[in-house]
Amino acid sequence: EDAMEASEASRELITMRRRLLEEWRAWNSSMLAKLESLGLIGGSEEEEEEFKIIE
Amino acid sequence: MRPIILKGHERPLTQLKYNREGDLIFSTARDQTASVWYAHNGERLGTLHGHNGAIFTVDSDPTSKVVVTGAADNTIKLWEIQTGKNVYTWTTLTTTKRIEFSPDGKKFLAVNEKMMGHNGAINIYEVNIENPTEQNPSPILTISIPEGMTKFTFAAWTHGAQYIIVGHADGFVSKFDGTTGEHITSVRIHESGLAITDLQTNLEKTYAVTSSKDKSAKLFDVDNLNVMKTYVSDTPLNTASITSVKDYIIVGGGQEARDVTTTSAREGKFEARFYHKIFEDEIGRVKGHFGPLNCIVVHPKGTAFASGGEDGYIRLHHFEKQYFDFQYDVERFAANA
Repeated sequence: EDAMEASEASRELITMRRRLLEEWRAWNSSMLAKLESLGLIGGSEEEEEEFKIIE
Repeated sequence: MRPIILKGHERPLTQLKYNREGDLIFSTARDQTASVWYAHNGERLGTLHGHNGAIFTVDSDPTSKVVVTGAADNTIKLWEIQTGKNVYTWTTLTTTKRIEFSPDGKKFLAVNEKMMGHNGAINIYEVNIENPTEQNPSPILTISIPEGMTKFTFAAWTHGAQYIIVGHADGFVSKFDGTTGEHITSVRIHESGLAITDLQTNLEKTYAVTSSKDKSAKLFDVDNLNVMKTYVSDTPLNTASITSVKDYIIVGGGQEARDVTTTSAREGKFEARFYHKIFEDEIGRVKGHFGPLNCIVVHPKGTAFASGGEDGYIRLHHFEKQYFDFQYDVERFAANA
């Protein structure tokens, strides 16, 4: 019975973490899409590449 | 994770900052000097001498040509990084506690402390990087404390310099228009009566993390000031920083300086603590300082972090493979999906 309760608790934890991860990623990509639509990112990615090559 | 100890300051550290590329670290301290260090090996490139008071804050422009420092001597100084020369000095009404360049590097904000008949304000100055000795001596915008609110402690620009977000001495954060200075909203996110001790944004400036003497750090959305995550500790916090690459928050603090003599370093909780940014769990600690941690900063590429202590030392840590490999099961699963 203890083992069943433990596995139930860990299943709930995993479900919660999966939800938190999905929520965060959805919010983060919506913010980045907004910045892109405002023209605030996009150009910076090119710079990033350039820097890597120099390194 | 073997740290590099940067010895050079005689008094407590007040701020650490990387330049945009992450090859230099700037440090400020109560010993009236600012230092420039090579970020890969901790060797000192130079020291900036000229302030006659504790220096609290430093930032460099996005091209790493100049650096600006704010101090208790009621001045803000502009320095040429290559020569270490002080090329311009602005006179302020009060101590400057935080400086941050706008993302385009054309201006910076300065948080001026409330003291001796002055209410304190955020002042925005233009910077002429091409001719650094020729500057506009007056701020182009001054943001005063809204009626009925307590003093400003820290501030940062949001994406595109659209807004300025500010921490107050009583747990509130406020949002102002970055161009007009108009007060948009204020929300209490930390415990009443306890100061917000740091405010740092992510690289894209879409969210920010604050630390507080209420022993917690909070992550909030800069658009609506909604608290998204809370990181709970057991000691007053002085600093919080966001890692890139990995989803972590690093916080630091410890018992107040005046109480330190009554406790050993072990009891003082002088560790940098790592939290998972999304799951809010504490996942690790890094020991080493002999006093409270005053400032933590993460390398812009997420490969290292540096902490500055009340003990006068800077500890620079480069992350090892295991740091990058660590994943929660759900993260590994999501990555493979």
